[in-house]
Amino acid sequence: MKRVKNYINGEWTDSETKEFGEVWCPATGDKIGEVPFSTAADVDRAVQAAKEAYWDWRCTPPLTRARYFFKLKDLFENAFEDISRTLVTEEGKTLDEARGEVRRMIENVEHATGVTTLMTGYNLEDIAHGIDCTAERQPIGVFGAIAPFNFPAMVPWWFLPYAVVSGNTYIVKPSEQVPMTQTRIFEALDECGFPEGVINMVHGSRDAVNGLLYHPDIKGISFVGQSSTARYVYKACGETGKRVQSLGGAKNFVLVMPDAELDRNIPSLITSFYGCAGERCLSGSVLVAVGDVYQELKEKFVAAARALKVGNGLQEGIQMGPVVSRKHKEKVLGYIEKGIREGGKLVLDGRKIQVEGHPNGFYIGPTIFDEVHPDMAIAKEEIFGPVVSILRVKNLDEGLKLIEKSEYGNAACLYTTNGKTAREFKYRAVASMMGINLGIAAPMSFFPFGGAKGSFFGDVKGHGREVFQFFTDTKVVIQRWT
Amino acid sequence: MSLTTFGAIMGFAVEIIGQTIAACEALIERTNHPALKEMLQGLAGEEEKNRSLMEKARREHVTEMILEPITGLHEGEYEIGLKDLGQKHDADLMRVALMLLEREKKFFQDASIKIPLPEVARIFKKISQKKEETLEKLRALGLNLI
Repeated sequence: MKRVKNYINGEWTDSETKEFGEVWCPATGDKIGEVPFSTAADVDRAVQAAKEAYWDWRCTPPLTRARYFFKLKDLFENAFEDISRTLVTEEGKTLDEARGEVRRMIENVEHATGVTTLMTGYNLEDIAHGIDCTAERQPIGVFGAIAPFNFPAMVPWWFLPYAVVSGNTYIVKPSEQVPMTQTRIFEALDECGFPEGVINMVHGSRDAVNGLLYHPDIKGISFVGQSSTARYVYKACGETGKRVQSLGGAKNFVLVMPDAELDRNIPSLITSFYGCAGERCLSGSVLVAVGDVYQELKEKFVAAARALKVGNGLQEGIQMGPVVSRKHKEKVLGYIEKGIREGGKLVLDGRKIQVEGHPNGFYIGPTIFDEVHPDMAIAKEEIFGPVVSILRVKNLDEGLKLIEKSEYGNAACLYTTNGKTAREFKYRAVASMMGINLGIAAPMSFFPFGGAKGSFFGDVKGHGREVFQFFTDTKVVIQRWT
Repeated sequence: MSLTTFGAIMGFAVEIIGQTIAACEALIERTNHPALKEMLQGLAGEEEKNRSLMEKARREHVTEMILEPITGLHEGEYEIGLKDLGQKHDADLMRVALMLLEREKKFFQDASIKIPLPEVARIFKKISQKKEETLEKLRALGLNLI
């Protein structure tokens, strides 16, 4: 049984804790490892190492810092398949999904190597007679990331490469449910030769999170997880004067107009709702049939969902894996029960799915509720599983009102062949990541990632050009030599 | 089994290329015909490159946003019985090699239409065309040369 270790000051170290969590393989239902619930003292050791490493790293030229990431990219390419398989084993998604995730992780490393242009400031001569002004970007110190279970490889790397290439030092806390993926990633990183203490990893749960949030030497936190925790992180960082970007949950609406090309777009809709077993903040959750598209859309969508191959994600060709844990499976099943109690019509029931050879896996088959009312819990709350609610509206305006009413504002998608409709949708919908004829509106590393309303707390979002602002202070220098 | 995902298609491509390489290696050991030997060595080398190309494409072109289900491509349509390759006569081995190349030509052509990524589809089309050229060269040598 593997017990993962922390990575502090360039060394694999045991936590001082006596408390350990269990790591499971969702596909088989077997216990596969243990994770230390590191203490605040463990976190402090990582912070001290990062603080000690900071000044030398901050004085290293940006291009030299970028060279470490060029090398790291190669190391990640070499470990690509191994990282992907580790990810599938502990998280449950399919191999293709895991490969896609690892690819996106590497894309962030690639994007960060553009530091020599992305981190530059600006200047203007003669802001007053004989006085020149320069705005320079400077690193700040030690930053940290608190990551979720659903993208264990990618999410810490939405932040880490940009922070470190900008001259900061870093601490990652992976989700305690899926600690092995980031451990495998750090094994590759260990070969890269970063100076000790520049990049650190501390495993754990609540104590480690609070250790990071309340540590006086940490300058900023990036968080991704459910909205209630995102709000807590945001508040804690406010109290302690830290920079913060805190990404929360979602309830994403996908509108299909009567003029949409259904046959062409059904595979895209299926990917939106059932990709990663619905455990993603960009997943479609509510399928909104606009006008008279309802009957045809429902029939085609249900048929395609029924045909999905559910199983162990390690087998090529499997299209949907299990959910992450037994506890999460119970939560999703609870929502299905609730949907039935509230009067939703269950037209596809994934509760009793059997996957051959894996009777103890945490599987839920594709599930669809029809005749859902916007006030039902299944239409409003984040389920984070393969459960779809179909709603009907008369027109685009009604659909947009549904989105506006939602407490979340992460993503929204529209399927149409009409450019005017598409423009109106993207212009008015209150969500920050929009898909037009695309069901997963996932910004790539060179665009910002983050939502609106209850889906995001902070100002500067993940990756994109803007993220360099989060990890640097703009120092203004005003000079007169005349 | 249906090849319903990008990874399944790429994995199957790697598998059938591997079978062609194994058949080429068996033939190279047996044949004394210099021209054929040279051609097979060239083919085996080319196939090794194709295998790496497939693995690289699987790694670098996987696009998480559009991992949409793929339909209409079935592994069974490309099945060839390959048991006891080492026990076969030379002429049979040659026929197997031709069958494997025919299969690759057909698979990469069929899959190029199904793969939703133009850059990968282009690689598949190119491999299919290359297989046609190799087949012509092998046929020109004739079966009785072994």
